[in-house]
Amino acid sequence: MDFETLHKQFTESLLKPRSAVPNGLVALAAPKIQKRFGVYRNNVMASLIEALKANFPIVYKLVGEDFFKALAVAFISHNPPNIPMLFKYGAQFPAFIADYSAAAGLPYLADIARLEINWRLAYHSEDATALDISAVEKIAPERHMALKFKFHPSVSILKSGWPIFSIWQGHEKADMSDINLAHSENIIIARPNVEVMMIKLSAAACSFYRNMMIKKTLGMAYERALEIDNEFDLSQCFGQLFGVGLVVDLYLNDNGESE
Amino acid sequence: MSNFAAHDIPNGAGVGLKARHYKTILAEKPKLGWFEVHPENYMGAGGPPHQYLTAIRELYPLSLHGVGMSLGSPTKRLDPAHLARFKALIERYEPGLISEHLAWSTHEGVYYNDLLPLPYTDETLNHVANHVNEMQDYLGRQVLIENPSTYLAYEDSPYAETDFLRQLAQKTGCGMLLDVNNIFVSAHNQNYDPYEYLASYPVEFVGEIHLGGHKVEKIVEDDNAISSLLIDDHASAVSDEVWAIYNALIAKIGPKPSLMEWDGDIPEWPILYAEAQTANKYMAGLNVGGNV
Repeated sequence: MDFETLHKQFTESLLKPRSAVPNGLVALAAPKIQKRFGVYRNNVMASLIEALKANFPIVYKLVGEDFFKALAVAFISHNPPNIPMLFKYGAQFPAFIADYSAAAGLPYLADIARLEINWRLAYHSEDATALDISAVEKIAPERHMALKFKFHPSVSILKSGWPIFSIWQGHEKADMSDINLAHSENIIIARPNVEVMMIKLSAAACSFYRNMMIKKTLGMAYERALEIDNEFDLSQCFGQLFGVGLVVDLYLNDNGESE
Repeated sequence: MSNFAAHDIPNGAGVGLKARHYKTILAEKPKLGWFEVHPENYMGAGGPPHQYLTAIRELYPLSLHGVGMSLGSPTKRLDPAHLARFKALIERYEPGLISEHLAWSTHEGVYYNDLLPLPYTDETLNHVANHVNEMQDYLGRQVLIENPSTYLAYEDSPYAETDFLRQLAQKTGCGMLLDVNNIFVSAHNQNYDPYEYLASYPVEFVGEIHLGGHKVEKIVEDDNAISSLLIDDHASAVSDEVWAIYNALIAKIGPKPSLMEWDGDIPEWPILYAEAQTANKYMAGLNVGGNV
């Protein structure tokens, strides 16, 4: 048998615990080949479960060891990794959780998994130096509404129908008692320096940041935010943008030139 | 110009770098020859992994020990994207040593995250040699190849592992990374004498040694027969038997870069550091007790 066929048979049995041991393998001593092949099966499955635990620590804590293990085994069997960088493993995990009937009682779980993916993307994202607010102050105030921002590469926004920020915070404080599941929360995730940060956004602020991230002008993003909340506080958002370090460059309208 | 420490890995103990020890190492700057990392953990664009590794590289030489190249895959070529990521890390960190495994981990686009075994035949020898050549040519560097821990054998595998490795080194100019724990684990599991393995191993090509822990798994079969397998889990201290093989090895070839691998149940830094110092004591010719 050529080794391409050997590899094919080997891998076809690896993720299926009840399938037969492939042909061409032998045990030169006790134990028998089934137990020996089982070591590889177990190494693969156990190490991938550990990889998912490392990438989704809050999902793991929320559901506990036994539930997580069953969920992970089901996921891994259908979605094994396709690259050797395991910190990227699990991009399909939130969608899998959303369809996993045993998790129906935790309807927010898929969004927590999304939050953990965005957290990890921010952690490993490209580095960039945040822009100081003095760059805005150099531009004449009457032109401010034509400004566009380039965001730090780690920044993402997550909109959820569930109180994901409160659940995450409750998990950090080990106290989930006060969480009102009827609330929905949106967050912005970023890693301007070493630490990943998460900030809860109002509906208006969420709209403002989303529009700024897709390169709308400050004026347009501000208008949209006011339509959602006529008391939207632009200066507070501005303080956050530059205070946290979410902006790395700015442009004026469409000419693409930085000033 | 980088502010990096010397490139060359000294003939002394090094430690597998773990994220939980970053801050301690930077604060204490322990006296140690070098560190090693799995490049796959540093293949993100930026963030804390690169910030810490850069700061540590400024203080110590570094070795890159790949686990994802899948040199034993039957594909015609290695994954070009993975080669490119590996090369970018070499340019970024200027490692003193580069190594990979005599194993495979990827098949038809699925990464199994384990070092899976190969039959040792003329066909696989040519195949692995082509892959090692491709990797060395692309990276512009010699690669050291590590002997695997094995749990089973192939029916059709005419080469002894040690002959296979010797031929591989002769065909490609690659070096050898000799994992002493893997010798002991495979010898127990496949019922041979680890010292006979060592006697036939091509020690003249060794550029690096690995040391790590294993666990004993008791196996009870359906007919109640009891036996055991050793599992290479890198989750405990180096056993006395493995230190004894290490002692015999360095008596034969002299001090070499010797890495302490501890990947599961990772201990506090002082425990890991003390294990590395034990390797240094052996290299200094001191008998440190145990079954030596």
